[in-house]
Amino acid sequence: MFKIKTWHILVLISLLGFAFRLYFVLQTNNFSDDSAYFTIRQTEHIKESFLPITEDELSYGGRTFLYPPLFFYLLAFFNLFLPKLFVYKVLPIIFISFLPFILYKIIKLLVDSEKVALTSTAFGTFMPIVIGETLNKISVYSILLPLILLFIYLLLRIEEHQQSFILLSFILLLLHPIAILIALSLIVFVIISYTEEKNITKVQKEGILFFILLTLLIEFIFFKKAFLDLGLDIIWQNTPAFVLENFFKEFTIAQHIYLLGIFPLIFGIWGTIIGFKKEGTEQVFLIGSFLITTFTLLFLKMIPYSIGVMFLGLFVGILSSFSFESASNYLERTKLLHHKSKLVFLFILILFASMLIPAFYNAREIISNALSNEDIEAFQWIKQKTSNNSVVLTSLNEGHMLTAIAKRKNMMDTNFLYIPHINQRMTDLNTMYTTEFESKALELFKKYNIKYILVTKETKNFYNIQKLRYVDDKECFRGIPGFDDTEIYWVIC
Amino acid sequence: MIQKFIGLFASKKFTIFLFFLCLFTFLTPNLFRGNENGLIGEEAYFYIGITEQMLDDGLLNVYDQFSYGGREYDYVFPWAVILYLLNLLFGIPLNILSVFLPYTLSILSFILIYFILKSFKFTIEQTNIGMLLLIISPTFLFLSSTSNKYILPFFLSLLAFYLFIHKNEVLKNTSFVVFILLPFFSLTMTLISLFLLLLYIYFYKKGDATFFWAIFGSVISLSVLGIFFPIISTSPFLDLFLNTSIQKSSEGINPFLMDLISDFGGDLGIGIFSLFLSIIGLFLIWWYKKNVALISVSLLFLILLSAKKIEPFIYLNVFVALLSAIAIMEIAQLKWTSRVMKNFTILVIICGIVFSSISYINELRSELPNKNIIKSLEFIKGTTPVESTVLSYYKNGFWIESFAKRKTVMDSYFIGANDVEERYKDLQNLFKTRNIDKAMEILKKYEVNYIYVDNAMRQETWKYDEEGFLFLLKYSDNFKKIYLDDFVTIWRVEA
Repeated sequence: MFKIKTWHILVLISLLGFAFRLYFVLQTNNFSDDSAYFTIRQTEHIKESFLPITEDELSYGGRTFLYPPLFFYLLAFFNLFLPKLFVYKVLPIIFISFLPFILYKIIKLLVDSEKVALTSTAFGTFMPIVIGETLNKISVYSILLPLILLFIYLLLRIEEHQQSFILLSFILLLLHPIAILIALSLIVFVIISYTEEKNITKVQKEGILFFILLTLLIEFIFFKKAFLDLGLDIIWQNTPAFVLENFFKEFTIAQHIYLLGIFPLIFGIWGTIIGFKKEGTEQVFLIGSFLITTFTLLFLKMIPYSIGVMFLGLFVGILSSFSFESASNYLERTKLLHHKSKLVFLFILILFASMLIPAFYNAREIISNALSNEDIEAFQWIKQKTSNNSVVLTSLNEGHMLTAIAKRKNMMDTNFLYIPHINQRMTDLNTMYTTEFESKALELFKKYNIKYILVTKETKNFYNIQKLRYVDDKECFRGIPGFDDTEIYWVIC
Repeated sequence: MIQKFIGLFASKKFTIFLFFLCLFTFLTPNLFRGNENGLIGEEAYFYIGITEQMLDDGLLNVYDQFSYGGREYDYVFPWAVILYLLNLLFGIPLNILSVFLPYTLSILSFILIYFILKSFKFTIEQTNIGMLLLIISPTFLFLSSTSNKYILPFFLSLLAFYLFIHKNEVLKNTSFVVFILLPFFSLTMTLISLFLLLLYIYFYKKGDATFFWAIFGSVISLSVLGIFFPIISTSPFLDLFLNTSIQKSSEGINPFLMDLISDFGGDLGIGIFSLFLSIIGLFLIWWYKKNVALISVSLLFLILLSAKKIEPFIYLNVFVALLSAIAIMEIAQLKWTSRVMKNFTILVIICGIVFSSISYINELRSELPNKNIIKSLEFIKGTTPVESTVLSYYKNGFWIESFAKRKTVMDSYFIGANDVEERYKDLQNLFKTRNIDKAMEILKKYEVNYIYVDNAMRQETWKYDEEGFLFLLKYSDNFKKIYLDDFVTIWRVEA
């Protein structure tokens, strides 16, 4: 007779997550985030020249860009023998599908019960914020999340996995600067362990020292110039004040409930309290250190809100296993024990419903925000009908789309680092879309050498405008026919 | 493998290799910079300007017709005097001297440090690794490749110290002469040298009365300075604690941290990896109780003093190199649970230190002025009346005076300047204002004929293209653009 084993359930969770994401991702040919198009550009450049774009002639009309390139290399490598659709749409889903396996491994170090571990694993997998941040965006977090959790697991089992730990340290740091979060968390871990008089093994100390030094080296190699220019403000990556206002949203309980799910949030907080108060093991301290560091950085508005909440959700989700275990133990001591299986089923059903419904709506919203076909046509028109050196005005969130699809210079995009006078540029961009004065607009077009203006439906919504107010002057602006919601203007003056 | 690697540092051949390495490394920033960009930094041009004035007016009668619209100096500049004497005696051009004099003195200082360290109880590996770290330290790279006022007194203080600790009595007594000379070059470094010497005597040579001769020699020099140069007699520690409101600007970084760490932009700072290692090294000397009192008290004194002055960083750098060497040796010799982790950690440390040095060399190489600045200032020199005054921010002052030979409203030499605080405030108000009357009033006050703005000034002074005075320069008829290239714009004041 076929007996269901733990790994069967894990594979099932992983496959469910995979299918859920795939269902949404294949509903559109386009992507839901501007930065996805930047990733495509980098990947294709690497495929052609084996090097990432460091001197970008199209971004900001020409700029320097230094960034950990491993994710782009990885995609370029797979793109050598796999079709683009698979690499950009399916591969990130495959990466994130490893999350349940690693989550389970870590949670199993915390609690004995396999059922509890599997329940917590399922919560982590279907957390709305995790799905939202990794769906249809070619997001580096698709691979980063499983790898960061794997790093935690390897550190806890470093005696057996020294070489894997070293290799993973390099990979993480070459993937994304968020790896600094790990280094900071490890410092917090050492401090907490010292104050709580918990012994960290010698090899763990060696591993932590190695990782901190490596972080220092690699981050300095990539971001030294930015650090010199911006000082500690590098934390905000030269992001314009205008963007920061939306980037770091204020904390609200409703947002947390929606993004994390109400039950995981309650059980997570409860589990965290139990973990620290009763368990106090090395594993709890390590996960707790990540939790404290993420919360502190989020509280100080030092990491983007959605990313911070995503990490927070995952770590709280791991620690929620304590509360599930505690609830399960409590149930066994009550008269309800006879109905345990029904109660557990009902409990899990409610929990899943509280996560899957927000996850579903979140995913649907993300897919609906994908680039429209008309916008694609507009970018294709720009590519075919304009000269190679033309600078095209787009909204901030369409800058990478322009450079990737139309292959033309943008005035601004979301890679703000190393750009001087960024607030001025942001102000100018907003002015060009909102000013009533033709003379002001023309002056700015001259300043940035802008030859074409793109006004998409999203741009109109963002700036709350029906059309540009100064384009009626036919001597200076000529509208390009053939589009409905999207407008393209040629700047003649 | 690591043990074999460490063993290399113990050989005498390695010491010789270090000497040749320092000959090459100290020259690299200037070698890579190329001739067309001129000398590195502002200070070199300040001393060239002063030396040229000395050559024109005589050694003790320096009137700077360009600085702050024309000013007299109440004292001489020792570094400029040395340049003047060498130029006079050997006819070596000033720009050549500005490169090779600091280079030569750095090599001599390096040799003296080696002999001083040898006389203490450090192993040959520790000494050699320490010396290697010293060669590639940003502090030494700065001292050896720029024309600066620190390298000569640093060399003299090392010479005095070395002579003092020498067993030969004649040499020991010679140190008295060097201690007499030292205060003429730097009061701060004299103070540091005497303090370090006092510590040495307290911890190693209790009862050695020669120390009082060193103090006596320095006090004589101070008295001479006080009699001949009134500005020092009114405030004997002016050089030590002079503060104006014009502080080094730093965006986001604490100024002390910025000075301390070269990776944050400090000229005489320490590499972040070396700093990290030196903290481990300090912990180790406390653990093993080796030279702990001498090193700890010296470090404490230097760190306290460095809150006010940057000279202590030069001495701090020597201690940091030594402590880092101790830390590297310990990390290499310590029994690690994981050998792979050990090898990788040491590799990361080496890469970190080398990266700090390479990127610092690159920064020195690309330091201003550049060819655009030199070309634009030659344009001013060739096309404007000799008595014109050029306004820019103070960091461009020395270049305007040296290349264009025109008067400035302000430059970076604040000590003893006329109304320095008032001038600074006026310029800040001018750069911020969009009121043409207010701007013209300030320009008239300082008889400004030309306005010189480069990209570095734009970046430091304004955030927006049409902010403050830039708006007036762009739209007012009172200013006419007479020069424009990728880096520099020059306007003539019309009204």
